[in-house]
Amino acid sequence: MQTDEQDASNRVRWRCRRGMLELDSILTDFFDRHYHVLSFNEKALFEQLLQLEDQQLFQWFLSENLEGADDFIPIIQLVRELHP
Amino acid sequence: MTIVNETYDVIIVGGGGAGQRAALETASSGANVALISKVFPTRSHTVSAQGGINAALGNIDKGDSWECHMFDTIRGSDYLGDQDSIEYMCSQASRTVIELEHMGMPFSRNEDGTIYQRAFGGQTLDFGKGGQAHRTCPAADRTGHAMLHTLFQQNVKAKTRFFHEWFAIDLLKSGPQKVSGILAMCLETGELRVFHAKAVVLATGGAGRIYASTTNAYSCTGDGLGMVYRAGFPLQDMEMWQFHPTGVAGVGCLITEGARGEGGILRNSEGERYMERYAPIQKDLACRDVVSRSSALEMKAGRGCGPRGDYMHLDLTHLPQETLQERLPGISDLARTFANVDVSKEPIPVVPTCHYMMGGIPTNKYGQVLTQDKLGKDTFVEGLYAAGECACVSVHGANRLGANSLLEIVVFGRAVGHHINDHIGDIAHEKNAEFDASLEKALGRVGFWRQGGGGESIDEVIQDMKKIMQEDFGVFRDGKNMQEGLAKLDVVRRRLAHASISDKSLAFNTRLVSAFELENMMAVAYTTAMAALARKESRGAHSRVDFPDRDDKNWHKHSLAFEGDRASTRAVNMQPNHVDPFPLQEREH
Ligand SMILES: Cc1cc2nc3c(=O)[nH]c(=O)nc-3n(C[C@H](O)[C@H](O)[C@H](O)COP(=O)(O)OP(=O)(O)OC[C@H]3O[C@@H](n4cnc5c(N)ncnc54)[C@H](O)[C@@H]3O)c2cc1C
Repeated sequence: MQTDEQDASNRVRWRCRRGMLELDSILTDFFDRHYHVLSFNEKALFEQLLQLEDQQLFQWFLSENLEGADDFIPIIQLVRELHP
Repeated sequence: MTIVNETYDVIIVGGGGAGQRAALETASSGANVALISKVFPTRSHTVSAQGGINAALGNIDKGDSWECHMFDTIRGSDYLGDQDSIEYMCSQASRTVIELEHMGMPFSRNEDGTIYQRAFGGQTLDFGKGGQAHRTCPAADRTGHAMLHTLFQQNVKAKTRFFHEWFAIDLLKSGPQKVSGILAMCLETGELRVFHAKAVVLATGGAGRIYASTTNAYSCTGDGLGMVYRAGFPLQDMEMWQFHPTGVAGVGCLITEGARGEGGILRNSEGERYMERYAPIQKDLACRDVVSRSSALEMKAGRGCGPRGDYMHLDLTHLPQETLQERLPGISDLARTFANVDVSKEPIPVVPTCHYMMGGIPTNKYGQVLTQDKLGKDTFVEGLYAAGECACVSVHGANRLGANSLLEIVVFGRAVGHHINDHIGDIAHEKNAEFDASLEKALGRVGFWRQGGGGESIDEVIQDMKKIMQEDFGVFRDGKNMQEGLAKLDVVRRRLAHASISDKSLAFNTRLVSAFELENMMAVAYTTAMAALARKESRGAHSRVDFPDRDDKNWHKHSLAFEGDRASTRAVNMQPNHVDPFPLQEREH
């Protein structure tokens, strides 16, 4: 039987699907390589982040401008640091 | 598992610009409309479009006109575009853009308050004689995002019912040429549901993922095309794929044509501005197919950049800081993240990358899906419409002009809506034995993946398909390679029939979705390969080494590909309604 945790993880992976190739690439890559080792809180933050708009994520992941990122700054920085 | 049935007037599959525009048109005139999208609608691929949307508003060039726009589009299409559809699109462009402005879309402005317009490739004044036109209306560098959000708000207001994170699996037919619904799956629960409708609109976007290198997001897998193909209807002009000259090497991310519009220059390993040789007039802003092919020729001639000579340089180092910051802010960031390049100091490594599918589901200018009877006569499929990148209406013919696609999706999304509104009263919901048989068949596909096991994993099948498409059906095409490519693809296609997925879960089973998507991509890839091998000429994006010239006598026609390897053709429409037809001419660059 599928556990709730697996369901949640599948859901998060699907939501890494975005409208932009750049975000698909950054987020899916991060998910596949690092999501499973994140803490409970980091996982929750990552999932909340995925609810935001593509343009917003694009700005935070691709520019120096983290305006408005507030609580998300640690997870954004982690994703950026780990991007190959 | 019992299957829930739901009934709507209109089912729209796809929440990008085309699907949302069609939804808005039908919902706001009182129809009961459901829009199904595998991702949240504002995460549709339309959100990627940066550059803008074309309309001859004449805000910068007072002499611009929709007729000039029509001429450029026909010429850009290498005369494969249908002139009645192109006429309709260009004549509706200004009112469509102004309509979006009135809905609240935040276009960039000139100092006098009018909509700003920038230069894009292939745009001319005075029917090719008056120099570069400025016809592209941007909303900063986030035009697609602005459009989607504007349409989404309007749809919420019009009470369109959204089913997001639902995956459409197959069309359900109630007659040989009649569609009366779809089978879809809820991603969250794995539940299957039958949606009955008087009209089904496919607006599922492009399919660039069939190539190894593409600018397209992961969701662009040609699902609508797969559904149409399996239903026994044809796909049109599948050999016509646009390769964008400037995808970041190794990643695919697109550097917008705006970068060259603002003065960026392509250079080879000798630092030469090679486009001056290939297109002395339009240079770096020549049509995309011309620029892509020129880059490929340079690489073949050993003038590619880097240790392996496998990319070109896009040079922005001479542009003023203000231009980079104000007009092209995203480009600097992209180059830094994906190529580790500071654009003010170094050129960006770029390659021709699969960008846009000109072919697709054939429709007339009302968006009705077309098929052919055994005698080759056009007929339409009752209850089935298509709009946007998945459709081939055909306004782009053999080559799309930049910023014509956002225009197409809203113009024909609305046209579909109009046609449905005018005819929905005459259509009845239909559920008969044929419908049940068609549902059985669709459920059989689901069962194959859900219950099957022990076969090869789909991952290798996907990789092999992409590799063949990239190598044998990319920018350069030649009969021998394509023949071999088609044979290899046929083997890969057969392997898919024995593949399986190990994940049998219900909730968000992304493997199952990938399997469905792969079946759809395989239909797209296979019809592309068949049609590319069959078209023995070079036209627009379809460039063959062994047939380097355009052959109007034998090939001025659309290609059609059906399931079961049946092929056919259709005449190109040369009969616009309000202006004289534009006769065939050689393209000059
Ligand atoms: C990087 C990039 C930049 C571009 N820039 C420009 C530009 O500046 N100007 C321009 O004119 N054009 C541009 N284009 C092209 C243009 O963006 C697209 O052609 C256009 O947005 C396609 O819109 P659409 O509505 O047809 O499809 P999409 O926006 O791709 O939407 C497809 C929809 O279908 C849904 N869907 C697909 N399959 C299924 C299924 N099986 N079940 C349920 N839902 C499904 C998806 O969820 C999505 O909602 C650009 C393209 C790219 C790749």
